[in-house]
Amino acid sequence: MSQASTILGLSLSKVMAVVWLLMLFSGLSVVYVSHQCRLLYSELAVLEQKKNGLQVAWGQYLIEESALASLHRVEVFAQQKLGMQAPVLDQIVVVKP
Amino acid sequence: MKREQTKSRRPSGSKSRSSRGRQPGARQLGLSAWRYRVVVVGLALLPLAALWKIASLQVLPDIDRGFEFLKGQGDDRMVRKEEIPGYRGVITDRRGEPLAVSTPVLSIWADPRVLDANADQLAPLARQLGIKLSVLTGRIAHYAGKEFMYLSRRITPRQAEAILELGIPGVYKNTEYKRYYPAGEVTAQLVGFTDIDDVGQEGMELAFNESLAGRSGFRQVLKDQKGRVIKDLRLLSSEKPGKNLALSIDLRLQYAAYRELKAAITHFRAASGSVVILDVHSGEVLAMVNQPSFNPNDRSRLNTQAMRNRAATDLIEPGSIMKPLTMVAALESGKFHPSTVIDTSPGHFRVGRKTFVDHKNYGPLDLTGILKKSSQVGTTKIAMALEPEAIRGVFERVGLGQGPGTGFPGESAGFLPNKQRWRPVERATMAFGYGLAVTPLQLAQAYGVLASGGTKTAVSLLKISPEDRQVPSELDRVIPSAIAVDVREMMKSVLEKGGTGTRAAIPGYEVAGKTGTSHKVGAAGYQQDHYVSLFAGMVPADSPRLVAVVVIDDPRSEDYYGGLVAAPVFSKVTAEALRFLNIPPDIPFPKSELVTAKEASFKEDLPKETSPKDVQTSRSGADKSMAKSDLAGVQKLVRAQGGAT
Repeated sequence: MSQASTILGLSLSKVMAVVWLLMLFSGLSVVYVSHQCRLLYSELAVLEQKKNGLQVAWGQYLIEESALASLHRVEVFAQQKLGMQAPVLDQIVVVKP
Repeated sequence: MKREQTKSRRPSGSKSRSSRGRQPGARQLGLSAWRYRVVVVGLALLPLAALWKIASLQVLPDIDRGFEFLKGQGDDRMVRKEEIPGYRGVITDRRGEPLAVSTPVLSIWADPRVLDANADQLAPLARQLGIKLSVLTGRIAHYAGKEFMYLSRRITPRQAEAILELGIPGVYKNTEYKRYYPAGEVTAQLVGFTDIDDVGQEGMELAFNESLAGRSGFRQVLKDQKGRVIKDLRLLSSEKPGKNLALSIDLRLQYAAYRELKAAITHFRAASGSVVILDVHSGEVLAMVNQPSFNPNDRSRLNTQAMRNRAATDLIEPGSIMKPLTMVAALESGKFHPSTVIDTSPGHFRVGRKTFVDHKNYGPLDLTGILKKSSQVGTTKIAMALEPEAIRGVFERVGLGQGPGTGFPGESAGFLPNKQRWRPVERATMAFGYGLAVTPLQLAQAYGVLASGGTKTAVSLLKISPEDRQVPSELDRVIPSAIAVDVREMMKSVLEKGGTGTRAAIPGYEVAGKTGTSHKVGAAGYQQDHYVSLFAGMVPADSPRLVAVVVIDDPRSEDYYGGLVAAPVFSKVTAEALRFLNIPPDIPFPKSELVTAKEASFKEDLPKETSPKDVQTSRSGADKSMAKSDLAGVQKLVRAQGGAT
């Protein structure tokens, strides 16, 4: 009987108390962790939304960029505003490695 | 009050005296047993009642509107359906330049009934929409009694937000996708376009619609009071983002080709035209442009004529541009070698009842000279000396009459006649490129065989990554290497002084090519004054990297020879392509020795191209029956060729 009432030298009632405390702690931890989880998840959701927004913006910038940097526009700009021209043959120096 | 106090004391008392009787509490207090029992039973019933209520709310259906109702109410406050966007894939060129990009746009719509009730708020709305208030009220009146009207379609998210921020009741947004084509008309026919639902309708958009198409997914999430997503419940349907597609074309080359083609079409007042540039080693199409073209971003004034990717779909009769392949057949036969001399005098040659005429009497010419001058008589004499099937065999081996297999919608396989018995005149016309029909893309592929030294590579409109690139094996060989090299060598002469293609010359590079001018087929056989001008060539001539084909259809100017109309386009486009691709010049270029075409000097000198006008000079009256031929297109022209005996 005395063996059953003590575990690791502690009486059964003390062991029960420790287990109760552990359970309480574990329960509160679950609450805390799930709260943290929700916070992080909502952050993730916000970031994902942001990502989608950026994706949209990227697409628009891509279009804008290729509209502004269209070869035709660049060519007209280079020739007319900057007075550039394609090098004629004897201006080209072929460099061999 | 007194009773409650005694009751609260009871547990401690009853514990010590529990052995004395069944209802010690009642006796001690002097109460009758039944009252005690009623209280005990009553207290026991209360938790049972609570349990029953809980069960009825949470488990049992149909009681108190059932648990479904409460669950539904709870979910309505917490569970939300979120869209996971899946965009249509981006189409790019080989270097990643975007050619087609989908971007979400918003359409603002309104419920006219709600809007009508808030008439005082219409003024700011009209201002934000950029229309007059009277116009807006007019439109609302028009849609009176309806539940839906568009206020503004397909506007940028920023513009839409500005309208929604007014907070006018009855104004809503709707996300749609719009596809933009940054390269516009330069790639219009190749890339194609999508309809309003983002489904491919033409070109590569149609061919690869399955893999490009994106599908939005949905997931169920829990949201808290502030609208933040706090838990992912489940995926209702997974999103499928469209795959990106990298085409084989290089936008820089595409643009250069388009610009030069457009300039030439305008200058020569031609009906249409195409340019195809091919990478010899990989078979990738580096440029494929057509005129006329259209702006895929604004299709309000769409001309269906401009929508065709002529380079892949339209058939032309190639004319003398096929002579290098005839030379392949000649060399393969073993009866000829490049320096075999054939006497072309007196400048005309009779086959059956037809006479083929050269521009002038060239006298004795070797094979190289025949190609250089594009001599009809010489070519005909060669054709007569060959096996009837020899020339057709070469044409077939280099891919004519077969679909190039790029997967482009409407890609044409061309037409290569197959005959049991070849009449002499058919053999002759086949030798200089009449009686068959090809697309510019097929021409490029055929010249690609000569350029690669005799191996045939499948042409591709999709980018082939270097590791996927197939090294041509002997299994792909369709022409002996030595013969391909010989013919290339012969084709160089076309660009030399006195050749037909001098204007195709590119300073610093050696070019091998061939001009062509063919008569167009009209309702009454070959037309006297409607031509197709062609040039096909490869650079650098000794180890070609690029093959380019220029086709200009029906130039209405005085010039119509391929050497005058198409060759300069070839020269300009290819020179730019070589520069873009960093292909080093293969000949040192002392300036004085460069052949630079001048407008006047070559005109008289330019040998006359193959033209059935000459073929027809001695046609008898029997040919008039051909005019009645009601078969369209190619069949008509083949019959016209064949029925001349």
